[in-house]
Amino acid sequence: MIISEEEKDLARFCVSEALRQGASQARASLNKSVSDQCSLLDGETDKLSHSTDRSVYVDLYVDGRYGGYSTNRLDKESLIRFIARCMEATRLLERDALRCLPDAALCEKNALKGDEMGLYDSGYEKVEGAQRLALARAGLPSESQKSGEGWKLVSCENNYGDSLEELYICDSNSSEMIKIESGFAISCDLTLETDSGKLCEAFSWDASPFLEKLEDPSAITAKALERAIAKMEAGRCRGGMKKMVVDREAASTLFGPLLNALYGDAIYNGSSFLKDKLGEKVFSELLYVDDLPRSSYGHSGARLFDGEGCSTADRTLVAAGRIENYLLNTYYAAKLGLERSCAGVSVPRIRPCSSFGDMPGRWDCDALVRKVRNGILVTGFNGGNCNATTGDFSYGVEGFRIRNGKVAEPVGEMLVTGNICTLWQNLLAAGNDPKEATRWLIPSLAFDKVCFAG
Amino acid sequence: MIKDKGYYLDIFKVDGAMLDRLIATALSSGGSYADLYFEYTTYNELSMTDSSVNRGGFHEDYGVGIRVLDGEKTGYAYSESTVPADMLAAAKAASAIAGKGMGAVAAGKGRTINPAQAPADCDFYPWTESWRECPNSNLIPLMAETDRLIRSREPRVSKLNLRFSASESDVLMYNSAGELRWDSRPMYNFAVSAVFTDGKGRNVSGGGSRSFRKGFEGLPTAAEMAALVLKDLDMAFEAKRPKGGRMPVVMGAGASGILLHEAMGHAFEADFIRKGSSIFKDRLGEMICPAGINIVDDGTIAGNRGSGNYDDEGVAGRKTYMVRDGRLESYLHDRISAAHFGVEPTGNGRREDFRCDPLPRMRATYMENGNCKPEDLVASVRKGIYVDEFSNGQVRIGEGDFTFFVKRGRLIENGRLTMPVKDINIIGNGPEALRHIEMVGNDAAMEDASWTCGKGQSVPVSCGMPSVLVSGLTVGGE
Repeated sequence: MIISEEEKDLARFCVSEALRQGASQARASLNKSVSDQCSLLDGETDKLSHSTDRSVYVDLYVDGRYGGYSTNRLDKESLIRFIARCMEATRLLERDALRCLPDAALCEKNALKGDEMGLYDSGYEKVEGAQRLALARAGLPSESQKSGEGWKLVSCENNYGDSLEELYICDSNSSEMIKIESGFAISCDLTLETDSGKLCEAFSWDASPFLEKLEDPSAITAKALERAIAKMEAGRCRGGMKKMVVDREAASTLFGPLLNALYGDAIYNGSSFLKDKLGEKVFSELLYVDDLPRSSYGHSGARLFDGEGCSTADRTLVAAGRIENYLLNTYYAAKLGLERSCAGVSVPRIRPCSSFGDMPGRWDCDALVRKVRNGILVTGFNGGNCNATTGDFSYGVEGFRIRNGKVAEPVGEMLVTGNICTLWQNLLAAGNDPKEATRWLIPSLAFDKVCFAG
Repeated sequence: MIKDKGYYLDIFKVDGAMLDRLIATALSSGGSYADLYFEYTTYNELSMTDSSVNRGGFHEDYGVGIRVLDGEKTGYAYSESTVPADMLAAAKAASAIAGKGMGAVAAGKGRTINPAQAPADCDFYPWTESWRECPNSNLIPLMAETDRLIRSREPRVSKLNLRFSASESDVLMYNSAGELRWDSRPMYNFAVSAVFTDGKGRNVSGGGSRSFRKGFEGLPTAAEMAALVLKDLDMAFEAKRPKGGRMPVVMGAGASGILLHEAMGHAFEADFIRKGSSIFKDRLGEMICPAGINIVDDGTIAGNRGSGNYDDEGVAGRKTYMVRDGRLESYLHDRISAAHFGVEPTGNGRREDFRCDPLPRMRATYMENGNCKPEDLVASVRKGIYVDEFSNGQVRIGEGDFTFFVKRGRLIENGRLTMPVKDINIIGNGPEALRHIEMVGNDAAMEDASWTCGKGQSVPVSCGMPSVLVSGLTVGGE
């Protein structure tokens, strides 16, 4: 644990000082983190960094007015001046009767130690500089990985990093809670040059709250190299409506707009294509989306309480294509006249599904390619955007042709264009292969009738 | 509003002796160079929703970043306090790069860092009214008037959100070459986002922003902001997706500078050149686009979002020709890449804040005027697309493949602007796109929206361009 009792006292002091200066309610969120990074460039140490961060975020409710403030100057004298300035700034705002702390009964009571959700690796404290360097070095390419038929490696960055983050929340309703999470990450970012002078870059990574769960660094490097080699002959292919398989590592690009459209602020501000859709079937009946903060023990993102300190709960967001729940914090629930759900998503998951009649045990990207037979396998997105109001999107893509159920020649400099609702109505399948390293449990996906331009 | 040296030493509670002690500690394990970057930033924000300014914020950030270079290797650490013991601990942590702390670190290449140019007598943001001393209440009339004007001129407004933020940063920089630099940097960002709904129930999102390194005296007017938000609104309701494919693209003047930022700017950042991972490596002196074209990265435009009296390594702000008369003239350097290539730093060493080490980054990137009339560019295209409003872009440095997202534009049919189009991504290859610039207009303009560049760290930038015709890019569409 890295937040000391003295530091908790400083957070409590922010709340009491705000009340003393006239606030009706206040909440203080103290964040503290320690992190170390080690980067190698072409086998030599390129950068070592060490950081310790500590800051407090204060929500103030004053005479029916609300403001949010932060500082990293945490001595008491500075905090008194800071709170005074924040109180003055809040009093200049217009009243908003719906701004208030959540009901104390909703706040989490059992997050007392911080590691209740199993996200703290006690081995973190024992990791030292030489081990960090060794872990980065473990990803260095072998001699045989430095060149091949028609190419040579011209740049390879191997990175290792670890961190420990702790959050302590207290408020004027006497709620208090704490959580801690360790993190470990490795990555490889490399560029190869073909005999014709073309450069191909690729990236691969893994992360976990636990050091022992990190993938073998050499496997990460091998994956990055495989991706770069695959790009050597990439070219445009004829556009048109095609089936599309999206690898699990790229799929969050298409899931993100759907999730963002469920947030209360987007709904209230009209910048959501899911506004007024609660209870309606909008997507394919194959689609089920859950948020699993409680049952994802040991998985990054699991948590007992959300950003407002309220107890979390597992809930279904989309069932058989129907919108079951919006993501509503206290304020936007009140604005929309709906029941509060949660202040932000924790561990969203898409359930495996299939329109192909069967769903084998290993339902991954390769299996989806076999089922789809012909189309495009997307392994990465290059830029693009989605209009939050309409759901219209256009993204650059890279990947491979799918021919007769097999991955064929690479494609690049292509675009997919469409509407997010239509895309998810045309869902063919969702795999059971989400990457464990990510907070979002998004598997490989397959869609029908996707418009490609090349 | 640059103050005297004592002001900065007071804020950070240091003196010359402490600065030297920190440098000595940073270099205690060896190393060829060390520098200190002290920063105190305050940030005010106000939000207006439903015609009510009902949310505000104030944030402050304070600390010092300490960097040690051993050849081209970097050791970095920072402290959020300037208590001597905390700063000395950070200096010691940064010193680990120089070998003793990490055991197996390879020896550096032993290059010394080029001394920066002597400081210029410059002030590229001569502001007078401090944001730190400006009560938020002074801004409420501008927000209220902007809200009122937009609503009064446009009955189709269904949601209108305004957000104003302003920051003020005091920085003090010192390095092992004995160079001491200080600066105070203002920045404001006024952004409006809107959703419009017509009688047929159709929704269109819109908005606009203005951002400058200016103080309270440099605000835009409510009328300017309203005009920005309501521009071409009727057209937006009729906009459709075009048929996709490869076609000529006329980039409108101003925001089309995103083409330069993505298609070449990033690949000119010399950390990628040094690592051999940029598609423009080894091309210095070569013709990379048609003769007559000049492309600049500039830190000296008065009040511009990308300008800097000094970069974040203490190098004086300057204007750098990346391409002159079609020929690649300079990459964008920080001190590390400048030393690697044996050239002077170009003032592009920038960082998000004291927690980050500096990297080569763009400032204001633009193309200088050509000699064609803008209307001639459109008239020369039989079937293509005209684009002038963008949201974001991205590039693959190695392959040079870039994309940018077009919020609005028009089809070009037989030399005339026709159907409005929206929400399309455009993709191309940097060197290919530059080679295929066929005409350059004489209407160069800067885009002063709140562009922010992400490269691991976020820094404010801007871009600009005259109208330009590129003969072939891939356009997303139905």
